[in-house]
Amino acid sequence: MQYSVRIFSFILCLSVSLAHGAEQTRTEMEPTDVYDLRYGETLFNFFQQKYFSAITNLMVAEVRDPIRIQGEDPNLLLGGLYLAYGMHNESSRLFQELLDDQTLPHTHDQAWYYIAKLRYLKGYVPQAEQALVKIKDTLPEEREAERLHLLANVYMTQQNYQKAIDVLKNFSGDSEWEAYAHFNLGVALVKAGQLEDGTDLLDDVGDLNPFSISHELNALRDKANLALGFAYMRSNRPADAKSYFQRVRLHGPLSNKALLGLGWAFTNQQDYPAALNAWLELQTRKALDTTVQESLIAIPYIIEKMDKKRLSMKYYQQAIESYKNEINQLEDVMLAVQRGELISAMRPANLQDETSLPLNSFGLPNSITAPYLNQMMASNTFQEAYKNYQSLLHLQYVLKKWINQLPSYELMLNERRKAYYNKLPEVASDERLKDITRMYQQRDELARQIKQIEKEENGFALVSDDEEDLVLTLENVEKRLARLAKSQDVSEEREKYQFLRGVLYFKLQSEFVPRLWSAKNNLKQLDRALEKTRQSKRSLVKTANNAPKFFEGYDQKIDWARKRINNLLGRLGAAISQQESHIQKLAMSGLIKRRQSLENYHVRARFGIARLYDSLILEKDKQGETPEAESAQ
Amino acid sequence: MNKLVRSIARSGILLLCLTGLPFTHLIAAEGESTAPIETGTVTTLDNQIQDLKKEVLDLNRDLFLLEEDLLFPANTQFTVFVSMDVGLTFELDSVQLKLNDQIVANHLYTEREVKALKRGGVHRFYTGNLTSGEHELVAFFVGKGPKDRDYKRATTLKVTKGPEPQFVELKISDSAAKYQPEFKVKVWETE
Repeated sequence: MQYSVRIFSFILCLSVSLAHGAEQTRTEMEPTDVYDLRYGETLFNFFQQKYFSAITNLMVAEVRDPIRIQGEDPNLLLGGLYLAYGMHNESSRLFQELLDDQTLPHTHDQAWYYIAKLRYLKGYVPQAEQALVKIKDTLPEEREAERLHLLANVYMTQQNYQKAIDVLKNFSGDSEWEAYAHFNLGVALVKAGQLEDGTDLLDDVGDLNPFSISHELNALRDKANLALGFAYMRSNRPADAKSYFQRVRLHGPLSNKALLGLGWAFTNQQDYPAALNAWLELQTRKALDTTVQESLIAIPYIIEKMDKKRLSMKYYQQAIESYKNEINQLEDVMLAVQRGELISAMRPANLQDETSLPLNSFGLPNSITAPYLNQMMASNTFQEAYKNYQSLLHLQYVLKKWINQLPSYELMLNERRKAYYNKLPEVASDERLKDITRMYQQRDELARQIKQIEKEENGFALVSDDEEDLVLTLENVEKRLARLAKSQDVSEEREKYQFLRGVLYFKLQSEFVPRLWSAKNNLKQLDRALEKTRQSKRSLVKTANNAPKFFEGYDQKIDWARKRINNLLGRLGAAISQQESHIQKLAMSGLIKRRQSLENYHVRARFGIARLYDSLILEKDKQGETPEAESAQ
Repeated sequence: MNKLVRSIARSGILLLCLTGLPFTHLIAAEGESTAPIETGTVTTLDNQIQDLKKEVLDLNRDLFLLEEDLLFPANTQFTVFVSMDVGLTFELDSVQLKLNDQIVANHLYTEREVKALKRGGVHRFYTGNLTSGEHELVAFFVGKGPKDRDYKRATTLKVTKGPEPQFVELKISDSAAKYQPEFKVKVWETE
């Protein structure tokens, strides 16, 4: 199926940036040219992130009528789709095949880029570097920027910071890419020992105007400021650290950490009220956040520093209560996880809607565990496990749907077969079909007669029905005249007879030519009718012979499909169980860590209160009064 | 700055900070590094899942072909696609298709589908069977036209179905001159 029509390109849409350290999806909206309906159909599904359907479209096209007019794009698209669908092995194999064949420079570069990305994802860093340096100069600008960042990341992973610096220092792109380049270059410089230049670059990123940059860049800006803030803290420069912590947005993913750091910066400067303000602000945040939980014991610590021991004790008590509650709630959450709450929450509500699967987006399950595990759930490991789990459920849904449809196909085939074998004897015994040969014989006889009539110019052979009556009447008259002539004179009557016969003869002979033409014309019409009948018969025979093709052979195919479906359903079921167990282990591991952390805080808070209690007892002993009595007052 | 830098260099703390480790010892470390899951097991499971995906895709393709052969044999197969070229003057809501005065398909487009069409996707709108000979196809396009006005247009085509599968494309495009949407029907020639 080859066509010629305008459609669009896609390749850039598969861009997943690794250069930022975190994956980032970018989509291009610019239309390009596409020349095949099946290709367009694939794009329709691909643009909706229906990767399973899009891959199926290309696989079906490959069998039915391979897409050729698109050049090598369909294979690039398929490789990219495999990658997006989490089939790294298949994607790698396909791109490798593309490179083994004669390829266009553009395809060559795209394929190497994907291979590099796949290798990097799998941790084959030197091999990723080898792939990246093979790319020439045909990548679009955006993709080239990604390539450079990926290459820099590769060098940084290899601790080859000088090379990373070399890659990034001459980078020029749009402001967003440039900011990432500064950030990554700052990190590379610091790691390469060029600390001053590195921190200066990080400062450049941290000093971007937050009101004129994207949400994504704001996140990078926060990251740079937070890193610098902690760095200055470690170097005992709390005043400088403060300015960086204060640059972090008050409401952002890193704001809690910044507030916590800010509190410590003020504490180091012995500005305890200011530290308290920062941490009390943290108290207004979600209680489950680890920084908020840390602030629970940081607050009494700072109050103690302000020499308000009783108030400090009160806050320690509150912290202990809060930790106890949190630990209890965490225990409940752990029980819920063991009972399958998380797994249930991870099952998609609508498996039919492929677009609802989180295959190309970050997502957290709607589970009671999510607030406790948001950091773990944001990790690549969990996100991959989540996507894989939903993919498996979707595959199971697809196969169950097919297996439910198979009986209707079998019924349809049986009905077709039954109808055929019921109809076949009727057709075979239809006398009209046998008459066709006799009809041809009759036609040949008629043709022979017409030829004879023409040869003999026999007008009497072409009489009409009325004229035939006249001819018969004349023949009767002639016979009677012959009989009467034996007994009487019939010459007058014979004369009349001959006159009438002569009139008829004259009429027939004068109309002979048009009558002969009409007869021949009728013969031609008969020929056409007979030919049509013969074609109908032939078509009927052909249909009768071909009909079994519409039902024979399918039974075996359906049986085979059923076996394959059942086999795969069994294996899918096992894989789903394994994946559930893997996810539960991940979750439980995260929750246990969380509990250990809370228990640690709890112990520290109790230690703090014991220490204060002892201190107060000592003070009261000196004054001859117990702390309980004072508290009661 | 130099003093700071030297100080950082000595402690190597900035490196830790940049890699995301928290400042104080009190901050709980939480994340994937905490998960005691064996990497080998995860890799094996991931490879298993990839193999399963491939096998299901292969089977799905075979079943798709089987279904098509059964339900829409090549000699009667008739397929209608919907596509959109730019689509600035028309916001598509739905398409209805009539064949020989019978409604055979309706589709209400989601926002996501419209976006996919605008980016060059082609929607397989209808697949059915038609006998050889002449047929009349009428497609109704409903949506919002210029100035956000309700817009409904129909386009008609006489098609002659032969013994090969037939593909018809309903294409929505913009008429720059008239600043109006145009609705075209194209019968694809199979080679």
